[in-house]
Amino acid sequence: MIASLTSYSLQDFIPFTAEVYLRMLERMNENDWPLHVLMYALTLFSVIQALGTHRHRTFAMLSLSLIWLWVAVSFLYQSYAQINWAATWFAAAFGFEALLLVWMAIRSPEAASSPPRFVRTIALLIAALAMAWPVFSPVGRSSWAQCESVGIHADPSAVLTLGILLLLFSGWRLWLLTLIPILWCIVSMLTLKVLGLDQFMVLMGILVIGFAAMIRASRVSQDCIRNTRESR
Amino acid sequence: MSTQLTRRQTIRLLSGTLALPFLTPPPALGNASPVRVRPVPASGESLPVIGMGTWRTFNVGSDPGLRQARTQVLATFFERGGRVIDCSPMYGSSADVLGDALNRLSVPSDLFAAEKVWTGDGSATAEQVTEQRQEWDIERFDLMQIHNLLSWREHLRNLRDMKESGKIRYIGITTSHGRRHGDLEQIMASEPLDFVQLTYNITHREAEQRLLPLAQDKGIAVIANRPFDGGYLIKRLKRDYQVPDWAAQECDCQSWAEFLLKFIVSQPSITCAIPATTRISHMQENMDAIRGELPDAQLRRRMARHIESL
Repeated sequence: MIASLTSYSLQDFIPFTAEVYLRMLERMNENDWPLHVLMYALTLFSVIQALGTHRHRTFAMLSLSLIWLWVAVSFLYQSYAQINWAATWFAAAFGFEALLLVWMAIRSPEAASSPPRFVRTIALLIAALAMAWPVFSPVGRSSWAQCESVGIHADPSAVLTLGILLLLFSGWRLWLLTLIPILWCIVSMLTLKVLGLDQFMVLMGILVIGFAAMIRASRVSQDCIRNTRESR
Repeated sequence: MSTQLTRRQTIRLLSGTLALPFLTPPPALGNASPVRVRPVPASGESLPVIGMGTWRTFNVGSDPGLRQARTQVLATFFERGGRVIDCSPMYGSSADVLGDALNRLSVPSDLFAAEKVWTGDGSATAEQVTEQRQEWDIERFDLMQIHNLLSWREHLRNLRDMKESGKIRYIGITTSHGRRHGDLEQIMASEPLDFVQLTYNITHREAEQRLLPLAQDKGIAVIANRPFDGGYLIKRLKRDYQVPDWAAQECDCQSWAEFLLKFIVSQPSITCAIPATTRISHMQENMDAIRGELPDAQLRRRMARHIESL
C-alpha cells in the first residue's frame, strides 16, 4: 500500500487545469465587484486596529473573522468546490478559523507587549504584500481580471491574516491561530506549482519569512515568561 | 489552453470551405477511410479504437464559456467517429459538463458511456451510479468501472447485480500510472470482467508482460488511459522534435498524437485508448489515429526505440 501511495504525484490531486482555475478567479471578481471596495476598507481597518491598543486589537480580529467567513462561503464553497472536491473541506477549515478568531477576540487576550522590531517589520511587510496582491497577482496571466484580492480570494486573505496575527500575538496563541492560514498557504502553493503558475514562489517566500518571524516571536515570548518567573 | 480557433485556423477553415467544390473531401469528413474498430470480447460489439477521456479537461465548473468550448471539442469527437467517453466522480464537474454538452448536441445513438464508481462505501454503488447517470442525463451507462480498485469486492458484487437486471451492460476495473498491477492481475484471473482500464503508452509498457496477455486469454477488453503520459510526453515531443518521416510514410502518422496513439492501439490486446484534450485542434489530431494504417510489430519496435533515443 505504501508503494501504491508513493506512486501518486501532486498532479493526481489537482483535478483541473490552470485555465479553469484562473477563469474561476476572474469570475469571482466579476460576481463580487464592488465588494472589493468594502473588503479593502475592512482590511485597512484591521491593520490600523492591529497597530492600536488592546481594545482595538479585538476589532481587528472580528474584522478578520468576517473576511474568513465570506471567503469560506463565496470562494471556497460556492466556487472552488465546483472544480475541486476537497474545497468543501477547505471551506469548513476557513469557517473554523473564523470561529477561532471570534473566540479569541471575545476572550480578550491579555494585553501583549508590542512584538519585537524584526517581527513587526515582517508582519507589516506580509500585510502590505497581501494588500498589494491585486497588483502583482495578474503578472504572467492572460488578463488583469484574474487578479486576486483580500476578502474575495483565499490566498491574499490568508496572507493578510498571517501578517496581522504576527502583530497581535505570540506564543501558543500565535501558533494556534496561524495554523490554518499557514496550511492553506502550503496547499495553495503546491496547487499553483502543479498548475505551472509562478505565483507559488510568492507564497513560498511569505511562508519562509513568516516562519522566521513566528520563531522569533516565540523566543521573545519564552524569554518574557522566564523573566517574569525569575522576577517573582 | 484555449479552445478558441486561432486566426490561422479561421483563415484555413474559410479557405478550405471556399475550395471545397474543387477538392475531394478529406477522409475525416468524407469518411473515405473506415473507422478502425476492435471487438469487445464479451459481446462482439465493435468499438472505435480512439475514445475520449475527461480527467481535468472537462472539469470546468459552471462557467458558460468554458462549457461551450468543451461542447465544441465533444462535437469534433463525434464528427470524427468517436463513441467511447470515459469519466469518473473523481473528476469534479466533468460528468455534469459532459451532460450539458450532450444535451446541446443531442445524445448520439451509438454513444458508449463509460463511468466509474469511486467511493469507499461498498453499499453506495447503485446510489453513485444513479448520481452520475443524472449528471450525464442519459438512460443507462454502457460500462461501469471500479475506479482504482476502491472497495472493489463490494462494488463488483453490486455491479454484477445491476448488469443482470439490465441497468448496465458491462463491468470493469481500473488503475492508472502502473499502480497495483499485482492486484489487477489477481482480480482479472479470478473474477469475470468485461473490461479493464490501465495505463499503457509508448513509455509505459509494463502491462505487456502479464496483464495484456491475461486480458487476451480471459476475453477482457482493455482501455488504455494516459496515452500521452498525462500530457508531459506529447508536450515535450511537440516542443523539441519532429515526427520522423518514416512514421508518416509507413503508417500515416502526421502528428505526434497520431504516432503515440497508433502505437497504443496497434497492440492487439488494446480495445481503445482514451486521450483527453481541451482543444479542437488536438481532438482532430487524436481522431486522425482512428483511421489509416497501423504499425506492425516491427514498426512498433522501431517507434519505441525512437522515443527511447530522444
